Amino acid sequence: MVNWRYQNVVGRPLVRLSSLLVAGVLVLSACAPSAAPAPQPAPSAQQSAIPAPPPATPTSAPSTPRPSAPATPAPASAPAATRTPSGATEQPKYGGVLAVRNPDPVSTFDMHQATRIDVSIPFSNVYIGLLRKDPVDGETVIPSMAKAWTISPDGTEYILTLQPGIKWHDGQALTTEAVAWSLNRMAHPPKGVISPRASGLLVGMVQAEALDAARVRITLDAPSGSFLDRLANDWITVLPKHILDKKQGDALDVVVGTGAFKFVRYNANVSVELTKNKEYFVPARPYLDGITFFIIPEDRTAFAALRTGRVQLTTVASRAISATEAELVESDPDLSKKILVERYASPSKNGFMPNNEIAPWKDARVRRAASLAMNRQAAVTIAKDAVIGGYLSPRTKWGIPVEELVKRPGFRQQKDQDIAEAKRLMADAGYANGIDIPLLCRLGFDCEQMAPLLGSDLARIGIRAKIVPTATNVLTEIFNKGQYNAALYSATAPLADPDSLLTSYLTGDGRNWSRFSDAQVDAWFREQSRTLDQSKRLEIVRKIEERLLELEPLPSLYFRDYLRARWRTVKGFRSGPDLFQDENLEYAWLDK
Amino acid sequence: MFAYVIRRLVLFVPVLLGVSLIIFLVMRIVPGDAAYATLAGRGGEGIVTKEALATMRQRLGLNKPYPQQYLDWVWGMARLDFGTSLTTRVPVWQEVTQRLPITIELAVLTALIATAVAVPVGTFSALHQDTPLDYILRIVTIIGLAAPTFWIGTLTIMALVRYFDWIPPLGFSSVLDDPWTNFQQIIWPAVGLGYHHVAVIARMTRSSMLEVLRQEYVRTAWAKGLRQRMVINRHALRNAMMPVVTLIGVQFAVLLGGTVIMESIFSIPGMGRALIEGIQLRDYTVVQGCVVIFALLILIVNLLVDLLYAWLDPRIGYGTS
Repeated sequence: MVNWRYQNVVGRPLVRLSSLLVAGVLVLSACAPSAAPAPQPAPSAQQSAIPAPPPATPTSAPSTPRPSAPATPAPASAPAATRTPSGATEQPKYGGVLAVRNPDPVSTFDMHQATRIDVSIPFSNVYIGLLRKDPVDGETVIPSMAKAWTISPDGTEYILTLQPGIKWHDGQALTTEAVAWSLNRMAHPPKGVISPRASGLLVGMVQAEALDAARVRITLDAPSGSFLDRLANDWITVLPKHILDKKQGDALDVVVGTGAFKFVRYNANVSVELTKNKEYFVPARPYLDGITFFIIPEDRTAFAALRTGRVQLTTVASRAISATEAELVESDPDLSKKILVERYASPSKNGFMPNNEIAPWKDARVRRAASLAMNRQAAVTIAKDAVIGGYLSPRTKWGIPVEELVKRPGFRQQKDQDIAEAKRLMADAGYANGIDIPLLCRLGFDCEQMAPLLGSDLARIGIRAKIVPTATNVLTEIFNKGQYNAALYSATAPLADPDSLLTSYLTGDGRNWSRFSDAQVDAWFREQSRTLDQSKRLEIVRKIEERLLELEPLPSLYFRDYLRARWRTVKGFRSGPDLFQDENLEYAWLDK
Repeated sequence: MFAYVIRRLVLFVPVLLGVSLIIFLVMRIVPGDAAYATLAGRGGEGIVTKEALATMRQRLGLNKPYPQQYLDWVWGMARLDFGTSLTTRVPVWQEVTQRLPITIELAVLTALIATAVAVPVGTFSALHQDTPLDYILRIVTIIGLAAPTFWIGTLTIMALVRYFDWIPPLGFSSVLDDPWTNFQQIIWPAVGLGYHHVAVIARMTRSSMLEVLRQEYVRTAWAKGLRQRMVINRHALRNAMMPVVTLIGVQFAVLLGGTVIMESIFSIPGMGRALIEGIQLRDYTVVQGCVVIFALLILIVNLLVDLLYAWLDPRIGYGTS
């Protein structure tokens, strides 16, 4: 018999109390900070890195010939203290399909018009570049599609000699006309075609022309110290002219390349599948049977996929693995046996960006005062996997070394003198009583951790910052339009070269969001850009950096290392300092 | 009844127009330039130049006046042309036909799980009112009501990784091509999403059953000596289900919203994920198309629920005297 009359006087209060307790637990857990890694101190990347054996290319690969004529002096290798060569002395194994994470659905099949990594990550394996960076040191330019090159004495003419026997994946032979056409399409896009390369990697290129069946001539409007590096970037791709000529429309909608992997299919919003190109012009490569790029937009899901082996490799930059996740992996003995976290120098700069065109920031004294007040040591501690730097990353050969910087005002540990000097500068500039400013910051880490630190640093000299959290794409739009007072700034460049890294300080440049302008910096930039001697370039670049440190248009907080995670079974390649250069997995192999 | 259905279908048009206008305006008001987002990507790492931005704006038709953009879009929808995605240049209709079946599969499975669990739980709870088991079930359902869906989804993934070192296979397999893989991929978000709906439906079932069990005809059924199963299933449950059916229909709208979160967490390429990605990238056409499709789905489900209501209760008639 059912008793549906309510007689239990204890029951109802018990239910209420239990409900309140449960709700309280849920609220507290929602308000708790993100899960911290295990309390044991995490081993640093340097301590846990496999001691580097002498780098060696895989022995089974035929060596590709170096350029026959002396090119520009090879740039001195940057210190690689944080790099970990992977399987550099082991014999590669053939076979296996590698699973990689792609952060977004593919936005276009046309590499010339692509601007995002969701395209470059998969398709840089389908197209072979004219040149590439050495997979062992990540810096030296080595032959690829072009087997040799010569540079004219005045530095304005490059003649590339192509490797014989390269075929498109549809069986057609690669021609020099296609190479020239591709370069011209990128450098001087026809109407309706968007090519960021025109004012980026191929700026200064006048034209490319096919000289004969083997050689292509590229003419520049001025000599360039970085042109070879730019040509070695993954974004410089040769597309099939014979296909685009036959179709209507201005964008390529098929993927036919010359690279080590052939395009199989794009499962919309799910994955991109590539298979080994058995007719690749280097018979010994690639080692993998195929690669599948799984589209996983959510970063936490991507980390779960990495942990469980559903993917074995993450992508670059901000979408790879977070510092907290890296710590979690390295502090867990089981995980660290399976997964390797690599750190490598990146040119990415994080800093404070005042709008140099408006008060108070158009006064260099106020900018200098802000820089003096910034506690960079604390910023580096909070950021993790970061280093103090000036205007160029000290982990590249171009930046002033950390040891030198930390002795200077603004960068040193002791802040008393710096704060006193900053206050004096503020008073001289007419801001003895301080000033209120809005401080824009990117939602997430920047707003949660860096903005409060910067706010408290600036408050010490009377700059009272109101933090304004903003979504990333809205932020970049605001910067583009110059509609801000001050902001936390984080940006990178496609190339770890001053021609790419310093453009954001050039008068009128599209990326000069700080609206800085200095004729001397502009002049020195042009000079170093046209200098072929790399040591002379370095001298000029140093002068630029010193000038920027004096004028402080965009004081840096830190330079963050790139993190990348892969299963230890994935070997054969390493990442370099260029953002879009290490996605080619031609040398990768699976140790299973 | 036929006239009633026709009337309801005709009313779909002004409702959808209203929805389309609202979403059009909202997408234009929200900060962020679609052309910029298309070039720069979600993380802002893409390469954007002034020339590229100008060309992109023209290509996407963003330099046209807003009224013209709206009218072009609505006229296209009338011809079943929802436009093309601003980011992928794929027709929105193609995205919908690829993604909608996945979302419907998730939503239907969630509704089935929720109903299959909630009705017995609610009935059991009503029959054993104020017993310890009743309290336990009510606490569990309150947790389901209180816990946010994204929290349950994230916890599910974390638990699978932490305790089983496993997550569902990546990608998405159709139920027709590979049913087992499809099951592994869809069951977890369905259970996670279903938990919240179990809570809602179970509580309504319990309340409704308690009310029905107090009715005279149920007392009569007991007095006649009928078995409990007969009394509950034949006499009480059907009447108790009427408000529950209404609730399931209303909850379907909430459920569609929940799929948005679960599809992102479990990396399922459904309409919900398209909506999230579209919002992040300011892909106006995809967002507008998804919202209108969702609105249409909700209208259809509500109509079906109303018709089901009439079937359950013969006293209810639409358009009949």
